[in-house]
Amino acid sequence: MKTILLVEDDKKIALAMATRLKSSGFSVVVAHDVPTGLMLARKHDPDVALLDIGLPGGDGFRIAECLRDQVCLRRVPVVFVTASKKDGLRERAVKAGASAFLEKPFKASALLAAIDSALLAMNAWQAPRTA
Amino acid sequence: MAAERRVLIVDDDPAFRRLCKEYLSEAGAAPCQVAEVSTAGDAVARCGEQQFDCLLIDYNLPDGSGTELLPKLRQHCGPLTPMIIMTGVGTEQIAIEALHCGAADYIPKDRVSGTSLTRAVRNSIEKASLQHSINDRNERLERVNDELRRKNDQIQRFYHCVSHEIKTPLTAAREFISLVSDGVFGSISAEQSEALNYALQGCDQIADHFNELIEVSRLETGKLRLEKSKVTIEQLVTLSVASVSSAIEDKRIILQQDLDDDLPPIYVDSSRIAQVLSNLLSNAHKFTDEGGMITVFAYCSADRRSVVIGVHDTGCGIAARDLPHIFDRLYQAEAHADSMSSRGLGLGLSIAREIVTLHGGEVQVESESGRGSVFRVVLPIEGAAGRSRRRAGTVSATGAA
Repeated sequence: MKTILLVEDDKKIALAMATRLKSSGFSVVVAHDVPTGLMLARKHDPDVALLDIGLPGGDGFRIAECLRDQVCLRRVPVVFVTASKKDGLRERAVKAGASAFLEKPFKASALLAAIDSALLAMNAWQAPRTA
Repeated sequence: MAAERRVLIVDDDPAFRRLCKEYLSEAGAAPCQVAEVSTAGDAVARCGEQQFDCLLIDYNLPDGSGTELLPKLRQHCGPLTPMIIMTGVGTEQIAIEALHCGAADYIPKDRVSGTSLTRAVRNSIEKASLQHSINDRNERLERVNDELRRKNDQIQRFYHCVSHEIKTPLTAAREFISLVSDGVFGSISAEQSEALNYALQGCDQIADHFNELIEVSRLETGKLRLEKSKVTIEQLVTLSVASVSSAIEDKRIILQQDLDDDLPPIYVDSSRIAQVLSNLLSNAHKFTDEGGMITVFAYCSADRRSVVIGVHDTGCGIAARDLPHIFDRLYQAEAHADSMSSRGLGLGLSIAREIVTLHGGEVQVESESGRGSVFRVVLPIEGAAGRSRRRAGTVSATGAA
């Protein structure tokens, strides 16, 4: 079973997303802020990091940066989620190495498609490592 | 009555100073209060003590040239006080130098007369006064500009906050409804499923309307930035048709495409242009009856400088009285007899036109009541060649300076 790290500060949205992901067969760990998110990432070594961009104590980009800085977490694919339609956010997400980008409010199908493409990205990375 | 003009004469020749004083005091001339000094040093000192409306300065002073004196006087007189250099015969070259150093005018001494002197003084004072008014007005305009820019930023931040505050509960609401509807919390009846679907549609409409509102606010405050990339016409049409094709099919309207073969790719914000086309398509869908036809077409302009993408429908058309207003914000023509489709915010065409205009293009419409409509989106073909041609153009303009 794949593990998804979800970092989302709104507790209702976090619950809805976690419920959806669990019902689709994923294991989910949830954090509501950046420090907890990083702690859980180190503890659980997730297969995908699903990061809200607007977070207390930093933003989703910051978490993505920190993940990249830690060797063991470097290849965790990241999906960014945001309510903002600010121009350039999508660009920034791509530069931060995002596998997918989700705008709120989203349909369940969009969420699951984003997770799928992130997992594909991860698999692509793992392939060369198995010598 | 005109206020007295305070004039300072700087000349080492007392006879010439007396002559000028007489000319300036002649009957008919504006009242002048004339002071006199004979050296550059004295001039600087005098200007430090008192303000003058005009300075008459001899070029050949014993302790320096008149033009060297100009910048020193500026420190006391400010940038606008007119300074007129008076030169001896045959020194036009010096006169040009004086003008470059900031003199308002120059008078060859052999041309000094009552009329020429008073005219020179009067004109230079009037010009300085005009410049003063212009500077004042500019300052005021800049202040207003800054205030507007600040208000703009405030509005932007407000919309950003509101956006977050609305989308957050909407996201949760939509997903929870969706979870129940998908049976994640237990199976549901057909009736419950239908009810929840209506709820979901409501959520989606709120999201769409809200996004339109935000888009308009950004167009208004000029904060919208286009994210351009190269895209083919086929890709654009596919993107835009995707969101409306099922609704069109449901209404049993035939949707067909007629895209020319030799269409070049264009450099545009593809998601926004696709949005524009989707908007035209959904309008066509709204105003066309069952059994009607909607055609998406595209061709190159005759001069090969733009691409035209159009939507034609066989719907009810637009009345002549409505035609000039359809791009106005919030304008909605008489609602068609299709009560199930949302009326929308009436922002779509206004946003569409602004987006296309931002791309350097235009939106055209032809329509007649009862005879359908054609909307055309004209977009410039800005190929890589076009872009580098423009860049080269800019370089040569500055290089030629």
